[in-house]
Amino acid sequence: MLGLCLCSQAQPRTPILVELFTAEGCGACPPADELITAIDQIQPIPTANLIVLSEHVTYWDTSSRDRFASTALTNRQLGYAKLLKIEGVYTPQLIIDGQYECTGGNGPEAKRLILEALKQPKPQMEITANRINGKIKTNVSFFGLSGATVLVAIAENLAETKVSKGENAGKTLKHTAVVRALHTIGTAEGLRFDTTVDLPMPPIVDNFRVVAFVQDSKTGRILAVAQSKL
Amino acid sequence: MRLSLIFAATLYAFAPNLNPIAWSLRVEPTHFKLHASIAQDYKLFSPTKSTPGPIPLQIRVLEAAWVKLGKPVATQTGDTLTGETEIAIPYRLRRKLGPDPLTIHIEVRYQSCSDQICLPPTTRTLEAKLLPANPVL
Repeated sequence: MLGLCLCSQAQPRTPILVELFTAEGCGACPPADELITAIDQIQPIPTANLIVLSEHVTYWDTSSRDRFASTALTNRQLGYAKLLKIEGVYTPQLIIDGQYECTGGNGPEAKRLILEALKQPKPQMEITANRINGKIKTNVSFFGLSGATVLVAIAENLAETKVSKGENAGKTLKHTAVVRALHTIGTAEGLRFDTTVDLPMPPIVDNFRVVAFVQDSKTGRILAVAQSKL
Repeated sequence: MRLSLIFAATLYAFAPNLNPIAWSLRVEPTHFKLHASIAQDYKLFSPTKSTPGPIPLQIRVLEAAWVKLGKPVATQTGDTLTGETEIAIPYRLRRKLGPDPLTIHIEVRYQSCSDQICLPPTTRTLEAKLLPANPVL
């Protein structure tokens, strides 16, 4: 009986941050956008809670501007290239838990790297987020991880663009968890981090999620991650 | 996308080639011959590309006070170049050279893609020597 009860319990899922660096002007990116959408919706690895972010970079803004792209996200990708000792940047690129990278449409390699990342234990992280008076009141708490940086991303759940110019001209691109703002809210110190911040509301309606993560700035490794969908 | 297809095996290479184009330059009496060796599965956007999108191959000479470049012509037609390709760039010296050769630098700026990845704009500088015998404007 006990055995049956244990078997019927849901397996705990370890949160893993899957970042996709992409661009609407990049002809190779739509399959990666589809992959990240499927990962988010289907959650195909039973032991993982895959928390995804689509981060649009600016270096494909040659003929038309990608409305989701920002220099901050381009710089974030450049930072990963340095930390992970990659020769340069490219799109689409997946970064798994800040530690592993592969081409964005490469499902088998992404799976292998996610399974690798799952070997690292993560402390539990709590996040609550609410819209109050045009701000997003966000509370983030966890134990330990002293010295690491705490970041919060506000991401549009689903976004769609009909592209008129460039390599993807004529296509309607669908994006999942598109980062519209990325804030550093503090540094973990002492036994427990527990902080509430009022974040400005980015120009999106009501279709968004808040993702908090703790990152080791020296290695890029994601030490904890959680999300709240509003 | 069905669950079984998400991580389905594909033909992806695991390590992307982030430097897929090897360049070389040679000087002929009236043209520079720029040679691009483009890795398999990659494409370079032609200097004559007419559609908007990734930047076409841009070529300039750093010693513009000495050398004037004409319109580049690629051996391949179309918006993208693949494999081994050569681009002829007519040039003229703006003034007569002294007795010694002049070292000049040709800068190429370009974007390239494969089916799996696209690379940001890249700049490379190639060196060549012009001889006093080369034609003057």
